[in-house]
Amino acid sequence: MADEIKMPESVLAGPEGTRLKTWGPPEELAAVGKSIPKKGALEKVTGRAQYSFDVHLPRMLYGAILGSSQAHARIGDMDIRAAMALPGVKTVLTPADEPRLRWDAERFLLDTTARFAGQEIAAVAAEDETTAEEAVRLIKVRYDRLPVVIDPEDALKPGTVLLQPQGNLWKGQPEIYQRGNIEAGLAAADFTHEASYTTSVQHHATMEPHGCVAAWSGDELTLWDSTQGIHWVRDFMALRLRMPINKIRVISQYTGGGYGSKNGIKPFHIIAALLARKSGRPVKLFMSRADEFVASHHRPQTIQYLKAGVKNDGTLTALYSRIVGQAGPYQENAMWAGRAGDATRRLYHCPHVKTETYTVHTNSQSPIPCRGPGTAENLCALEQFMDELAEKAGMDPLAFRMKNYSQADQQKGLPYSSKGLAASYQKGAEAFRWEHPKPGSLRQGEKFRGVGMGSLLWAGNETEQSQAMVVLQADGTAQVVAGISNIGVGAETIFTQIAAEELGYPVEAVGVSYGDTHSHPYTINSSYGSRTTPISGPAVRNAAADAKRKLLALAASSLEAGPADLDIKEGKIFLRNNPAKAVPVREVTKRMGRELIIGTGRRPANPEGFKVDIFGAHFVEVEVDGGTGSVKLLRAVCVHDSGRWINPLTAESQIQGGFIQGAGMALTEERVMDKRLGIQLNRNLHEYGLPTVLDVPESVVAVDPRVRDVSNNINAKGLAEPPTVGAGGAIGNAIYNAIGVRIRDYPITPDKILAALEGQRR
Amino acid sequence: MRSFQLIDARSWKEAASLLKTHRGKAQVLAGGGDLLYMLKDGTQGPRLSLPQVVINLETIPQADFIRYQPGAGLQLGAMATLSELATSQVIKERYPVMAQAASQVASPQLRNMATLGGNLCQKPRCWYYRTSETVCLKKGGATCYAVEGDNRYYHAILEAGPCYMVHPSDMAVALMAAGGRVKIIGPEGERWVDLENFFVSPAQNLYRENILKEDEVVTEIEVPEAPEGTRSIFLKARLRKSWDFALASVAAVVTIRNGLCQACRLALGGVAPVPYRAAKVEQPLVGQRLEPGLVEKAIEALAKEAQPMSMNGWKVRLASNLVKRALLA
Amino acid sequence: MSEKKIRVTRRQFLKGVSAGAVAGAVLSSDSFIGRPSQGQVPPVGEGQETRAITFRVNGSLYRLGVEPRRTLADVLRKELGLTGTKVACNRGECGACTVLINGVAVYACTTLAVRAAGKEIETVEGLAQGEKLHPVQEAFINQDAAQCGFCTPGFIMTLKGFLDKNRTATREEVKAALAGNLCRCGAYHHILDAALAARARL
Repeated sequence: MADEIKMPESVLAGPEGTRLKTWGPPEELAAVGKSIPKKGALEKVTGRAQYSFDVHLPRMLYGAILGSSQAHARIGDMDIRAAMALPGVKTVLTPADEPRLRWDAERFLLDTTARFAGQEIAAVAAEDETTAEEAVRLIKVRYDRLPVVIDPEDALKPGTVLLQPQGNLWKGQPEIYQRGNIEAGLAAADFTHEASYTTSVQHHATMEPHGCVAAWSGDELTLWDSTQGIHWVRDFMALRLRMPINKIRVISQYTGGGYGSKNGIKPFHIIAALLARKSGRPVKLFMSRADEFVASHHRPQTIQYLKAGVKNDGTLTALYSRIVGQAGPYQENAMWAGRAGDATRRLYHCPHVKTETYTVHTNSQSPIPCRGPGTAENLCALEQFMDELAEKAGMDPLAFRMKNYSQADQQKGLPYSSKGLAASYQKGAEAFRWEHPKPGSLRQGEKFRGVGMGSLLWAGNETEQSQAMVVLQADGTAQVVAGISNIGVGAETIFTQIAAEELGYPVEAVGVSYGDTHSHPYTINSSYGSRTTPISGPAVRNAAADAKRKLLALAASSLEAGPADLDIKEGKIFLRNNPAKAVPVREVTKRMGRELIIGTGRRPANPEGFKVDIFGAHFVEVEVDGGTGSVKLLRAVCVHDSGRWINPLTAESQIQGGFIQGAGMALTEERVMDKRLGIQLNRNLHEYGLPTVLDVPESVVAVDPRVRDVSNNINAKGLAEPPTVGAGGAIGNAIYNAIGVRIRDYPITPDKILAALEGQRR
Repeated sequence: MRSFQLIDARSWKEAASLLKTHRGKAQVLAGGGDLLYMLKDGTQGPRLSLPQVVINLETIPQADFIRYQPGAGLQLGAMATLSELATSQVIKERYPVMAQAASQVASPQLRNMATLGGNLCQKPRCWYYRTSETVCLKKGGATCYAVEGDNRYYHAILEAGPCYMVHPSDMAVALMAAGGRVKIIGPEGERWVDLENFFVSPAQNLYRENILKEDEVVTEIEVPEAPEGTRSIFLKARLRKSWDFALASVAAVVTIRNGLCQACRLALGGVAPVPYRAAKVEQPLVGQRLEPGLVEKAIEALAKEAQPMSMNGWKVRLASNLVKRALLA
Repeated sequence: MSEKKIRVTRRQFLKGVSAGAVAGAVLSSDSFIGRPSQGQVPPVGEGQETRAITFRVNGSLYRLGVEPRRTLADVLRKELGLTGTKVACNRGECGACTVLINGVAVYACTTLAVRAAGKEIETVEGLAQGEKLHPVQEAFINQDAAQCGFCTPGFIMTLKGFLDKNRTATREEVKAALAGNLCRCGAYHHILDAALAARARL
């Protein structure tokens, strides 16, 4: 990419009317753009890292929740005598407990109607986990069963049980987007093509289960939570429990995975707090692995019908999609079921586009965001569909995509703050040595080889508030103080790099503190949407700039110069016009004695007139075993225009891991539900197929197209979700290229491949 | 997990007599993987109860031996771990089918814990059997939920009904092809049974998977010497390359002399409620040269015999392909 | 050899062998003390008889009484405070609880604590010598092999156990050895890089 970028002035606004410098390419920087190991890694590898799961308090009880065994039932009387009689059981909560607490407008925390299997209906606190689990099993519940509907298409049929007064279609009508005129676009085409795709429920399956430890002291509640964002947990707890914010403290040092499922609160948070209040003792409540599957939400199941009009030269004239997404029975989270249309609307240039989204209530737990929500499902379908169109047009998949490249955002009509998709195609094709053989042509005996690619789009951040602090100590070290959780992506480490760069400190001299609502500012509500770096990073830079400004003011007298004449590099304060005249930072800061320099910073707004989006391209090679139907991923090249890569090492981790999660969605991960009973059948980690080390490609090469974005002062757009959203389509295309039959239902499991090959043989 | 009383057995005889003493309430603990799983899940039903007494077999001395004597074959203690079987030099050389099967069971750590005896005697993995919300036929209920439910992966295509489970053991498949037999000890003494006669189909007895009486236990496994010219192989198809149970598996033990198939034993896993001996595929191969055309023809018997369920017809093709691959390997 | 007396919870107390005698004893799996009487079937959920066990964890000798149903993972975490051993599935399906028993990698969530009697247990807390890290730990840091880190101790213990016996292992062999550990963050490539870097330094 060009080394010259033009930063909008508003983005560079620093503290007290100052202006930040435009950062150059990584070669010109000292800390940003460098591969450094993550903060906290030492604690993780030694077992010292304290996750909320590891918190142990004196007199602590253990909680367990009874979920409904029925997908739809009225809950009759509960007999808790046997549970209470079990030695060690201290407290049982049932719907009969007064006062009844609402979860939301639609239901009570412990309700007397269950509308999905696993819905919370009672809870226990006991002296140990096993006793709590046993006690829950001993609660006898009378269920009056009601009809169940699981399949979203069934739910739309007349005569089906209604889960909402207006019917099972959310809001009573589909959500429609259109630009241009779809009929006119189809009429203008030389040919049209249509296809239907499905994607399955994917579970977050975090290694650390969902849970918290709740402890009361008088009317103050402390919660150690496994969360993606401490502040959201605090805010929502305050809201539900009607407590002042300063009486709730949420702590989270390390979180064992989130991927979208640990944002805000779930019923168990409130239940833990209630059990603790009722028993007068701290309560630890973590979900069992089975409950993780049935009750902790998931990526929704979708059905996507696509139709396009194309000119013979490959120009898209029309693109239509009908999307059906499976929601839960309630309004809560229904919005997350119908989001598989964003890429269809915006990734490729097309004048006539229409999407119709049907979000359907069913007797299933509701979906919530799961790494790349909506778009991951969308791109599985759209990217295979693009390849189908390219083939019909007789074009190489890459050439077809370039033919329909969109220069500006078509939904808002705005130019992009940066767009490195073309660069991603080019760099990816080079690194992969892209050549696209004829489908089914690379066969040796029963082994088929194939390659595929796919583009990706992930909606970048909008303007949000973020505040951070940078504290300078007398000994010449610094601390970033940021209200985030450590979920393992490395945001806290990136913050130290940003602060070090701005301060001119060596990166080793910058530490970070996070994870406690009582002592950390609101740096992010919760780390979701690949936003923490682009939202919070600029605030950290501004806080560092503020601290630096104060430090230089302090240094001015000793260097006999004005603060504006000074700068800091490699831990030394020097005169700009005479760099030989320099003093170590410590010489200045030690005069502070016991005082600190506290720099505060907030994030400037995104510049007006731009759309921020994240792009990339994945290239994959697979081998399909025609005898067993199994797919072996051989290699992948993933190019990510996420703006500036602050830490290439951790960026590579994100890309490899994100790709693997996307590969899981594409090949092995799937919720299996008995549709008549409404219960999940594969709710353990051997039947739910998380990829193992033997299921991942030999190499996943991460390529940086070196884009510097102009929407914020660190030039970064976010990276966590894009690698997941880009995987499924590329893998699907590679499988088609290998076997010459298109499989449109994800995950692409051996049964589908063998059936496809069988069909081809006939 | 429910409480239980743990009793260390000091000998196989003592284990059997403890089982007798606590008849109906006791189970034996070998590697522990499956028993603890069921205890933690609380898997039970009218005809399936959780043990109140657990008899620890780990304390039995010399129960994990691996011995090979030329001529006599292989003798294995029931407490030998799958890791030991997978890495034993003599097994790898003389009984590759067993080493290969052992190396594909579950995961490395589970293989370090799991025993041969435990692997043979594990309980079904059918998800309706393991799910607490359903009282399936095999647990003492009235319905096999798999028939109208989801049977895409882990249900039978052969010789099933009224329960449609598949037997989850990989070692049983390998041992059946290798012609193994097991030694059983009970309070009244011991007996040897061919592996082929060890397993019991749901049609014979819905509530048990093998012939063991409540007070009997498998103590030893023997595999005869393989004649010269014998080669063997174990192939397993699964969703992931680790941990998963077989979608289908095949063990083939074939003796070739002068280019002709002298003897052939084929066993399949993941396809029937008991490890399945594919005799009808074997028969036409004996005395013949194993060529693709002949093998293709022979495996047609499998498709003819198969009675797939609503969603698992694809496994007929899978199993046939595996058999073909094993025979032509 | 250090002797640690640890907090004993309500049902667990063993009066027994003096510290010296235990410390000097040759430990074997036969060293159970105080077997429960046979023949009495306890009612479900009733406070259980405990069994006295002696085992060595990270070089230190421990004596305690445990209920037979308790897993090794549970006892390590709750009684010994060794929370580096994680429990993610509690069914032997993820590997987060991997520890070494007599040098062999097993799932502590699927091992009854009583079966650790007389044995040597190694957990992630025992790897570093003071602040000097084990090569596998160091490599994990340098290669960014830990993302959320919850599976990390399990991976590290599996690798430690494996590399101790296989110093010349290939990348493929390392992969096979790690097939019993799940990493949901998908850090497998960096984990393999770390394993190979550590192997070179062992």
